[in-house]
Amino acid sequence: MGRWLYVCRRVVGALLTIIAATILDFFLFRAAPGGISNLAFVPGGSPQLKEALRHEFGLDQPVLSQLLHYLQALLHGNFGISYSNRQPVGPQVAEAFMHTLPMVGLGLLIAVLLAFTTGIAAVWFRGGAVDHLSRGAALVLFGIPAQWLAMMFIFAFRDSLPSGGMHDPFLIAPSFLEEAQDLLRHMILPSLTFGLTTYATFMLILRTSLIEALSEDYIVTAQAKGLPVRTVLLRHGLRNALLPVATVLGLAIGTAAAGAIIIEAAFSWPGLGDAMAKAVSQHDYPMLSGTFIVITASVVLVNLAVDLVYGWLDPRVRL
Amino acid sequence: MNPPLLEVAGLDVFYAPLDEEPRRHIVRDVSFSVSTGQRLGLVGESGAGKSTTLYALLGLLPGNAEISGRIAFEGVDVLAAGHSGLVALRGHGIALVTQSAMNALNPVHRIGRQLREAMPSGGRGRAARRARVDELLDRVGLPPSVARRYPHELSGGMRQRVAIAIALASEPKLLLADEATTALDTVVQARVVELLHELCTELDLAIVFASHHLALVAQLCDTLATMYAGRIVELGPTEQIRDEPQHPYTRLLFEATPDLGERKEHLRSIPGAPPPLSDVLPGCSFEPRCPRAVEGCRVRNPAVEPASHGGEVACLRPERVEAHG
Amino acid sequence: MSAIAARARATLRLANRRRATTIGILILSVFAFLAVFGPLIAPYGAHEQVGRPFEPPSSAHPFGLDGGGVDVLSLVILGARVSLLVGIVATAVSIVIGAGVGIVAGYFGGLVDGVLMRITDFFLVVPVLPLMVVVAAVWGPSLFHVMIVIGALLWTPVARVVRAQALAVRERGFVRRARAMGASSGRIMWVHVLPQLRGLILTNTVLMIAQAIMAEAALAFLGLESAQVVSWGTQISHAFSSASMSAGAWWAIVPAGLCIAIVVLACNLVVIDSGEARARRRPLHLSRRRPRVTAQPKALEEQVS
Repeated sequence: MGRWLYVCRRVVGALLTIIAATILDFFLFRAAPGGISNLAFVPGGSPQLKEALRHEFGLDQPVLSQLLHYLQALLHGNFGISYSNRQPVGPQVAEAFMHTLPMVGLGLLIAVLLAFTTGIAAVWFRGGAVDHLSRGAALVLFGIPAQWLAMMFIFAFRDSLPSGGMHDPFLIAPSFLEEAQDLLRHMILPSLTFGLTTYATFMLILRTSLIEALSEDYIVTAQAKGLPVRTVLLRHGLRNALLPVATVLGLAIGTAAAGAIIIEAAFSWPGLGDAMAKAVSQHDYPMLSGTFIVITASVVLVNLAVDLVYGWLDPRVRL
Repeated sequence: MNPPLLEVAGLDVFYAPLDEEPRRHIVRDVSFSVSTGQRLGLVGESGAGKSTTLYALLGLLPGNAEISGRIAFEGVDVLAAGHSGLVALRGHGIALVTQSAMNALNPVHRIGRQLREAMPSGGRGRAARRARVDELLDRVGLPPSVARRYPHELSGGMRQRVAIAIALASEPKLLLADEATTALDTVVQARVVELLHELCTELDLAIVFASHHLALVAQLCDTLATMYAGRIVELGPTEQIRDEPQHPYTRLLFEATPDLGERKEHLRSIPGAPPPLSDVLPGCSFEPRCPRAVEGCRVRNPAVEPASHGGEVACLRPERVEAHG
Repeated sequence: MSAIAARARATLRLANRRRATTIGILILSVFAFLAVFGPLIAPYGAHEQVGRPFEPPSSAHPFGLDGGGVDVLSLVILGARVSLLVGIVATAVSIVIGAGVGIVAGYFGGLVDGVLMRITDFFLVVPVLPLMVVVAAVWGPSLFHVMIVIGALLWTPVARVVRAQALAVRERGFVRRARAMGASSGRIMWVHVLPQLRGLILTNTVLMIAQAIMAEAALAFLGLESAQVVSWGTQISHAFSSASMSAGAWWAIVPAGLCIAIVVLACNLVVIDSGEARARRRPLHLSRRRPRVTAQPKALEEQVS
């Protein structure tokens, strides 16, 4: 019973946050030069034309009803029309989202693998060379700007791997395998950059919390049962160490999203981040607004998922 | 008597320096033996080396420890078998019952799972394992519904019983209980000790019960050993030691303990504190606090000699005459 | 004379024990020096074309030239000033907002706390960079805007942490006595509660400087700073847009990014010591090191005699 309350509270909180972000976005864009409220400025236009345009865009309505209209439109998937290509923003954002997913997905996989292997190794060889190297590497990678690492990779592999984009435009009628290979060749550098720039936080937190977990009494109990070392380390130590990691994960997701945006811009990977970057340079406010909302909503929802996972991981929380 | 189940001879445990700490001699030349069904109590103040002795038997000491001596279980030299020997011993003959402090049980696993984990592997189907879980819980006086619970949902007394059940799950011949009642209220303490007594008699289990609570130890154990500053200073049958404690420290411990069934004139506390274990004292470690100390006590550490109650005592001037007030 | 010497020796011993912090401070001092005296040290100007684009490093130009023929070494030195300035100003804004919110929320509790925490939670969950991008895009590209925007959005972790401490401090003896004596809330917060939180705020400040510098680089990369600004962030961005990678001109890319990485590393080193010292005390129950089984050693007493 308590568990459902926990879940509901979190879900409602997440939805409220998304709505709040949307409202914030709405008010920000009303303030934009060249934005919605100035849209009706047509050089040389007569006052009647201006009035007509204002009426058409609903700008003569009170602010609150404009806001409600806006929210309603969003719920129907209507994100407005892009200034740059005059196409609806919604489908473009959706397509960009589908492009971001695999790249970030692979990147997260890399980050998780790196964090766990180096983190556990650092604890096992605590105080030794492996520990210091792992931590040093993490600290250094922590401070490397994602775009810089991206550029270094592009430079290093400029002769062997594509430097941008998602597909090779010159492939003629590729088979599934060829297409998959092409995709992978384009995806490996962005994902690797993502993984390297995001794993550091996880690894350091994991290391600290694993050390904490291994100093607890239940480790002694587990060993006294005659369990093999690996079982004690993983099933008892690591399992408990995951809890603080999950707590920190929520905060780290925002940073990861930032990294994704920069990396996509650097590699021209046609995802949400790239769309946002292009929208900035083209002053395409509807597109900027749309990508902002989708990115923010995604992060909030992932945060929610992590929160729920935490509730599942830690039985002490549920009651 | 039965052939000894566990023989400990000349056990020494050192803690090697971490950072800038000096090397500490925690357990000094400890020897004792335990036979099947025997209940040995290990009494002493905090820091006397009781826990370390127990953990040394199972190799559960931290990596900066050095052990030497002889530990033989069922005739086999455990230390010579190395770390793998120690691991093989855990839960297969010797089981540990720890203090039921909040985190002694893994907080994220259910009780049933933690019990099943302790059972000897192989041979049993799932149904049989679950039945065994219920049986173990019943044996320690807990309802089967506990198996589905998490540790934080149980009271201290219940958690302690679970710890005992976990120890029993591996079908051991010897239990090591390290301050197993210390975190509990008085009433619960007594019940747990009763439970341990029952189990030892029913299952013919031997137990080494370490605690600073003399009354409980005396209640449960047929043999008593007092430890001070890493050494066993007196060892013998509980009844006899209670009637005529020979080592001054043992005597002071009894006099400082209320409710042993006798009326006391007054409770004496023992002034002073145990010495830091990095000190190299040439004489008896207890000498600074001993009411019977003489010059000779500072010169040489007294050897272990037979005592009049049938056990042994390490004192230059053991009290052979019964002295009352 | 000897008192000063004793003081110096004590400081050196402390520095040696907290080695990471010392190294961090040293590194940061070097960059602070560059930031302050940059224009005097840099051999060339930031917009001065001194050769052909992408000339490789040479004795005349140790870091080579960038896509506009500008000396990279000079760019890096001059860029330190802006990058560090952004770091400090943004952090100052952040700390003021964050510590302010935290102390007020923690001290007053109740409704004030509730409202402030809802706002803080919002900014904690919502990804910061997209919001920065939107605000900066709407406001217009400029260095000043960037500084304020970063500062206005980085304060949330500080507020959380400060609030927790403020809650704890509020109940302590001397604060209650001050309240009983009729001191105003403002005075209590400023005089009594704030000093207790000094160490915490200091740690957060250093970490935030690192974050702010990274954020500046990100916003610069997305074109949200005016082109005239010379910072490490704009250098990286410029190197990108002038296609240094395909031109093979790694020297146009490496130095600026390396500086950011080093400064961030230094900031992390400064704060890392306190946590690690505490963690080392507790022994692990499970580790690679096993207890050593030795042959009968001499007891300590026998060794002595």
